[in-house]
Amino acid sequence: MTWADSDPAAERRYRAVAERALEPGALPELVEALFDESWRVRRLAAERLVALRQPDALLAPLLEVLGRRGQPGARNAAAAALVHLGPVAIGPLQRLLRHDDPDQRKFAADILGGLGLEAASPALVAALDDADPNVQVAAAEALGKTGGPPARAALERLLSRGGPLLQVSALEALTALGAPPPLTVLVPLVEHPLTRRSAWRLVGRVQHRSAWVLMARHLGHSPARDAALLAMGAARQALPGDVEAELALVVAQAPDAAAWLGRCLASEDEERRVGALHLVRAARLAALAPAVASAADAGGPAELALAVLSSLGAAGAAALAVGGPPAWLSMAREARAVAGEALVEHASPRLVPFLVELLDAGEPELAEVAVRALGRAQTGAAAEPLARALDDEALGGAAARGLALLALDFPDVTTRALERRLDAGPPSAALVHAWAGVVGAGAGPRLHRALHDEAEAVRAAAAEEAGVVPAEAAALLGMAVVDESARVRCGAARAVGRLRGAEGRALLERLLDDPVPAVLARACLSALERGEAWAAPRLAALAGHPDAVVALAALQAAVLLGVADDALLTGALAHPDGEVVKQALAAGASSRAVVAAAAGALAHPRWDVRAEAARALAAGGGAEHLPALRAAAGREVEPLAHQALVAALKALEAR
Amino acid sequence: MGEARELTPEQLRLLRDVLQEACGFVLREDLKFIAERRLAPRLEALGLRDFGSYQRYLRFDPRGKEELALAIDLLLPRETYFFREPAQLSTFVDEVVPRLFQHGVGRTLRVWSAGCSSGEEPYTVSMLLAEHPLLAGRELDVLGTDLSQKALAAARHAEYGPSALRATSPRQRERFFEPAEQGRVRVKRAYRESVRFGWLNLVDARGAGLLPPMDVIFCRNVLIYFDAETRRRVVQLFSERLRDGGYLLLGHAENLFSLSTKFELVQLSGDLVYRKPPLG
Repeated sequence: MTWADSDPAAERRYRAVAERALEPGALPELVEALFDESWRVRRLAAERLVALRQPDALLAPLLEVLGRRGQPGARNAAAAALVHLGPVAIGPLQRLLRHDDPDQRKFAADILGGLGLEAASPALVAALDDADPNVQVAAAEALGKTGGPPARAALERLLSRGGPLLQVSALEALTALGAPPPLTVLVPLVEHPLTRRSAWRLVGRVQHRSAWVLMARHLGHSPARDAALLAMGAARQALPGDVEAELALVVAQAPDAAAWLGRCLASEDEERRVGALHLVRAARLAALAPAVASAADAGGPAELALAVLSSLGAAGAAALAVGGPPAWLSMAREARAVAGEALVEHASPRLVPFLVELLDAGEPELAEVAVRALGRAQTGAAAEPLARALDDEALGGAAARGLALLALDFPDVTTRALERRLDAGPPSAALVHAWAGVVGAGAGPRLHRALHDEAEAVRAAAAEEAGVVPAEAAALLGMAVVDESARVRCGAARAVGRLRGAEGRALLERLLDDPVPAVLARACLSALERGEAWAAPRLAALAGHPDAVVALAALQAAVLLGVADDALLTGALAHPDGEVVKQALAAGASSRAVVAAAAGALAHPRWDVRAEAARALAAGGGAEHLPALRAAAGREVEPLAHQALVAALKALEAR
Repeated sequence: MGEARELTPEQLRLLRDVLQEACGFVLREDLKFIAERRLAPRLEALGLRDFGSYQRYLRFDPRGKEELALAIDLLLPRETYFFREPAQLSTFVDEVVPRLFQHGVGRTLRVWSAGCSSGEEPYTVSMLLAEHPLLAGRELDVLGTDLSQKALAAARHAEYGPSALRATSPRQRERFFEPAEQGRVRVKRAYRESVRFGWLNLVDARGAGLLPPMDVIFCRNVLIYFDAETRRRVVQLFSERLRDGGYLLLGHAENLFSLSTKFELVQLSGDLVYRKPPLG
């Protein structure tokens, strides 16, 4: 093959079509270009014709091109354009289905299918009786795209009366429609070598025990087992337990089952991989865990693969650690993620050496998996590597949580590992969190020191953890609330929420006057956590704060403390940020004032606010709101908001 | 806990809106499971009870922007490895580059890898062209850009594990890489020198406007994650940044149908590629 533009004349014609202005006068030239000898020019001409957006004017010339025998390139280009013309093309194409020329009739069926409109189905059903077998097949395939009850019924009839070719077309069309026929109709077709594969795919879509039994029976026989596996691939969710038990028996009888399933898990065909996943899960073939992970590569069935790995338990996780390095480390990202999740779920002491290798492998994603898994490994040997991970900013949080978990069973070894890190140099914020979480009330001296650290993240961590030392918390927090860093004061505000006793009030009063919105917001939530009803006036004022983060927190606190009156709620409804409006609507359906204002929020620019307004009206509104809801539903273009409006209408109409 | 870690349709849509506004990425419904799984540890780390709170955190928390960058990192598909799609790469080396030189290239051949993730693609280009006879006496300038600062840091570090090498032959491994710690490898200096990296959101036309005119743009398996409008804008941007006669190489699942008429489809012996029509 040579360069397409090695023909300068073709290149000039291509440019002419590309540069032709899209106005009504361009139509004859573009139609003429459908006959060009260069496929690039023909293809571009078809695209440009569609872009003219004149379906009515295009129909006649395109149908005329379609009728030119001996011009296959032009006919195909015209067909490609006709597919994009929409409902206006249905009538003329229905007439074309009665043309003398079978080629024309086949084109008509193909294009009607391409339109994908149910209105085309009746004419296509009639075309199933065409004298020409190619037209029949084209009509059957097209019905798989247009759908509807008549299409489905006609396709099912074909399964009993057509020849194998037509039957396969009907089976594929029914698969495309997701509409399996009765099992009794399918059984003879799974026995026939020509219809077997297509019929099995539909068997898999019959959600009945008899279908599973049929599959299980055939999985035991090598000639049919590949096709039966494809049928299983139609089931995306877990199989019923009794079916799995039967499948396990079938797999156990086949000596080459593991090798065969390993190959199937590596197949390009997603249905085959899904079928194999079901069988691996049924038979608990833990050694296949790496292959199970590989089945979840990009676009693959990740959710099912993860469920299967989960079912393989510790033995599956151990299989993932085999090899140097294990095969799944070279796999695509999704496969590695799935394998990683399984390792976290089934971490055990024997996996620790492998997890440490993973932690040190230099890949952030794998290191994160290793840290999470080490935290659940149920052995003191995990403490040291986890303590090391505290220095890594990206891993520190997960490592601290892991150490806290580990300390429940191995407090001494965990504490010693942390002490060694603390003695080694300046602490990280994660190390402070971990220390407080593990040592608890004994953490005081280290927290005092951390509160004077140069790094604000470390001071913030110390402030946040002050509550673990109840006797010293007030003193620690007294320092933190006057820290120059808002991050530290935020940490203090969080800790004050958990502080019990009267001394927390003075701290909270100061924090509720902080100049930084993030601190104010956190202080509002702490007022809620402490149940401080005295803060009601301040919360009411903050609910109108121009910064949404403060307004939201104040509103939430006031509502849950039971101090939000109509004035506060309706004030929040006028807030410029939609999120605040939404929260006011969500909290105020029991207030007449809010419900009255909710009708106005049905016109809010944000779809989620409109949805929330509809829900508020459904809960607190009455018949007087029906006109507003109907009008809103009529103009709503966002599906989720429309759904909420329709539900609200139903609720109020039924009331 | 389990239920709270499920994205409701409304939360999914709100999260999609936030991500789409930030970088054009469309969190499709079929990615719901992946999103739940990848973001669940973030909810745990931030002490948030559900995805509604997470969405508010992204919008309102002082560290929301930082978290948004992290969420984008976690959710954006970043599947990449060295020497990916070898047929297209052969076409690039054996047909596109000679064709560019036929039409006249400046002293420097400029290649942009848009959405380069952790750098495998720009380094691959550098490796493939390092000893190309047509580049003798000229310079090669490969620019890798990405939205993720984390990915760019990894790209500059140029160290890779087995996953990145899964399509690399032992010969290529020996020729282009040197051993690093823990069984990893590092791209040899000679192949790093012509590659530079930049932090660029493809949705931000102003940022891209600062780039020099390019001879070739690689943007493989990136556009598929954008909505149609964003795709149109990004393709327009490519058209502005390409020299006349320059080439745009997309992933095999991608095309410009109904997106742009500023490119023409050119059939080469090994592949179909897009080209910005030459002047005249």
